[in-house]
Amino acid sequence: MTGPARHAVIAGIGRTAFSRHSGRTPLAMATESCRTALADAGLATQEVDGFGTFTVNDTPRSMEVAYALGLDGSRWNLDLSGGGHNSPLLVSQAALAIEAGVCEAVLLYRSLNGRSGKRFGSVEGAVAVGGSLQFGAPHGYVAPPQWFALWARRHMHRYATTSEDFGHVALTFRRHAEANEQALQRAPLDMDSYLASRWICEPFRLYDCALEADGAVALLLTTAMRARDLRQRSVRIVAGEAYMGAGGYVDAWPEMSEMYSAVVAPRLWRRSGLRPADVDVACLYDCFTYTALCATEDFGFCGKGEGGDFYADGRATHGGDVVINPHGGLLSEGYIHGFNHHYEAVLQLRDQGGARQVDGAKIALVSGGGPAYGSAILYARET
Amino acid sequence: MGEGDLPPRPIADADSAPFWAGLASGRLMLQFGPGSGAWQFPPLECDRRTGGPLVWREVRAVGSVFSFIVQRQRVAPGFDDHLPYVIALIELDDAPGVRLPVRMEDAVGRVRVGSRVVGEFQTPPDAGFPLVVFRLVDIR
Repeated sequence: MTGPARHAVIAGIGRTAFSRHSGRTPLAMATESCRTALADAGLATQEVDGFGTFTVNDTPRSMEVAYALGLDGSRWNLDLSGGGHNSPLLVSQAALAIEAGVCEAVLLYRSLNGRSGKRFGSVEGAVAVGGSLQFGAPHGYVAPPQWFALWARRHMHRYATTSEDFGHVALTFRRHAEANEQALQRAPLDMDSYLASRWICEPFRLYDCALEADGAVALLLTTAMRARDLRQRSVRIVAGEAYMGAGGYVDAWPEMSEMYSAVVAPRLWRRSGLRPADVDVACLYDCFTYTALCATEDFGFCGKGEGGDFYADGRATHGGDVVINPHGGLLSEGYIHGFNHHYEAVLQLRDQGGARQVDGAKIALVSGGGPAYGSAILYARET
Repeated sequence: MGEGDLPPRPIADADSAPFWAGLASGRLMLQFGPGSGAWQFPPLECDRRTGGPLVWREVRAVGSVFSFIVQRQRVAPGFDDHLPYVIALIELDDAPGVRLPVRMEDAVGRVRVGSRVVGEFQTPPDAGFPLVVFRLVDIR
């Protein structure tokens, strides 16, 4: 059976506390977030027949999580290799499986000890590096902040983007986090403090970099028909797009002041029939201030080179054009590898944002990844 | 220097071995596809544009800075003595389309996008593998 009844929706969401030291295994946190999502929807564990995640560093495999939830097995599993670029793509793929009738209910999660366990920002110990990173690693070029900083420099070069422009992104998201009890960083941040924060790798300062965190987030997907009897207002998956470019070798991307999102955005608008002005909430992947600023431009919320002014002028916050990262983003809520972006989008579309609720939120955009590879998805409030 | 203080070591493979062998003899070797007329980096077994054969050619370690960062915080073992240091993507005069990620010496505060640079072949003590690092060409 196809048609509207089988449209994939998000019926439940779950998460653990976010912290700097969970003292728990990623498997334990993944399991808790999945149980919470099931309880949120009011769906029995035994109805879940699919699981998915994306795997880098210390995440548990999806069959382990299914087992820990008490199931003997599952009929559909998808463990995508890689990081945040897979975050929207994973949801799109699960939606396809549901709409094709391959499975009926899917739990997707991301769980990591990103602060207390394996960290992304550096390497330690005796290290040997193969693949396309073997050429830069012996020069001390090994970690994501360095790749993205090279891209940020090109944006500065092409558009005269300044540190203050990046700072307005960090300040906007921190202001949003002040109203979010789940956020790890809620202390007010002003431009002087931003500019005075220590360099990580120029042009990035401390507050340009995502807040590494421990925690887990889970989403429960099922059909629109099944969701009708469940506890929450469901959130419809409208359309997704992905672009995995440059063979993963980001140094080869032709023009670094544009990201994967410059390819994904026009395709996503065409596929969905929507446009930037229709979006009420955008959760843009902000592993660094640069990626959020550049994605804001690439998705068409403003013109290229106008990102800094867009944030400075309040167009990315309540009362502006679109509320970007109302939870504080990966910069201030915490780096749950972009999966917390989906959680926030669903919360907003269910009108459950509390003190940070975006008025009349009907359409949300979630992006993941950058620079040369990433994906995006559009959600809508069910009417 | 303890083992945990050594810089990351490259794992040469069947596709990259001529690159590392070239550096060991003080030569910068890159792949060129006669069928496509294009340079290719990182190296692959075949020309990705045609599926055809490749040749290794020596190029001059001379070019321009495409982008750069200043590494201020320890990110890997083996570089504490260098901090802060510049990492740059170099576009080589002889191999259009190739960007080489390298460390630069004596460049902090002086390097710009577009700066002219020249390579210097080194084998860092204790590291046991050869590198080409770059310096600014001083224009007088």
